[in-house]
Amino acid sequence: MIHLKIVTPERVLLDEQVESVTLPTDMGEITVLPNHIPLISNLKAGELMYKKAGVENFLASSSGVIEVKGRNEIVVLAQTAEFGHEIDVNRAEQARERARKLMAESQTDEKIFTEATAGLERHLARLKVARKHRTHTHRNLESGALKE
Amino acid sequence: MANSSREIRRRIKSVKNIAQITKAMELVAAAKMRRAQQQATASRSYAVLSSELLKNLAAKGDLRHPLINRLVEDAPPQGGKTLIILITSDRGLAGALNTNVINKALGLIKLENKPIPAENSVKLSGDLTKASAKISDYSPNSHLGDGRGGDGFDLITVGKKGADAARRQKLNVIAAFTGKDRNLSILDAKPIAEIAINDYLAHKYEKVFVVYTDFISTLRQSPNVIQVLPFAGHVSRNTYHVPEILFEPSSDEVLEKFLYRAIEFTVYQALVEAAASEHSARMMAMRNANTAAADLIDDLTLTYNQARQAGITRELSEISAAKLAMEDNRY
Repeated sequence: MIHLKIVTPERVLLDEQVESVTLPTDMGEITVLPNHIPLISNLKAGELMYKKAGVENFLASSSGVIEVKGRNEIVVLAQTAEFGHEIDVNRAEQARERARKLMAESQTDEKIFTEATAGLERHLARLKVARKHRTHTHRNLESGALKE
Repeated sequence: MANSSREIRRRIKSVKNIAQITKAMELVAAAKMRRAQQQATASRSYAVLSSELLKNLAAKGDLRHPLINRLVEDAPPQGGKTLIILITSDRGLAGALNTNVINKALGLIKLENKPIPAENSVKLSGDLTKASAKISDYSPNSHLGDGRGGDGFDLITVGKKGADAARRQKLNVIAAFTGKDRNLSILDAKPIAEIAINDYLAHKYEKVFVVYTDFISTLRQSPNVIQVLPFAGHVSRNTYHVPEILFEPSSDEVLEKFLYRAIEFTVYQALVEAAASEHSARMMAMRNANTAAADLIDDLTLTYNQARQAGITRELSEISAAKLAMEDNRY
């Protein structure tokens, strides 16, 4: 088991024992299992997954940093992060549209363009996580109904 | 007499009306205060963890980055300016809160203007959780009479009160944000931090400070100064040995991104603390107003009753005098 902590300036999202964590980093997606060596890496905006009691849980997060400590401890410091059930799909979709528009308009200015791209990536991840949460809960409900 | 007792009655009524308003404001401020205080404490665990991370980065090697210390050949032209981010509230009725924080900023300007190197007088203490510079040497109500005055300084103001004060002192304001006292998010700190970082890297400023009100408790808030740039969060190398840490992509790249976020976070924390302070100060000010109103009402009621009683006594004696006179006439 790994002790996973997800912390943003605004709140502590998670402080729990989990089985594995999958995170997007600058070097690509990594999965951290127990007994990982100490590692510090940049977190990319995207979709974060942790497995607990066999169930996959998803979060959308913006960029940040991750620190894998020696004693099976992972700290994720992100600027913002949300659980799937907290994301409003409609609003996320609007935000993505805005980001896409901004990106199309700002193609001449490199700095604004990179920022807009990062924003779009973040909103896409939020949308994905929100949708995943929806289908997951649906599936859970269905399987629950079958059992009964 | 009847005239003056009516006057007193009117005053009692108006004081009661004011007390009703201050009571309502106290309740509103108390509700906002609770939320703001929660937010202020919620950011502490992020602060602790990120200063831990910085220690690990520092153990890896010298922290070299223009945001921490400029290289010699990279030094800004002589007499670089200083940027002050002044965080105040939009609205008043919060006791001495805004006055104190504005005086602190003016004191900082005065102090930085002195010929002695600022490093001697401004002591910076270690970690991110409470990186603060204690400035003891300034007198309140100081105005910018001597030295270069406010010439070497630019301001970013957050909140209307700070913008007004800067205008009165004829200080140069490069950006004025209106205050936001609830649901603050890190995104509110981002534009402020961005201006500071960009202008600093463009050599417009030598130093950047944040002046805000530190939230200590509901009863105590004190104005505080933090040096944002060059980043002073933790520059000394620690000696404790850290086991081999793998950095991806590299420790420099992690540091680079970390610094931007840490500076944003410092601004965010100042905003949150200032919001918690504002609501606490307003609640206390309103509570004091309530007590004062209650005292005033007691006082006025006493005077009113005395006046009323004096009137009754006088009327009684007038009646009995008249009666006596009439009885005398009969015989």
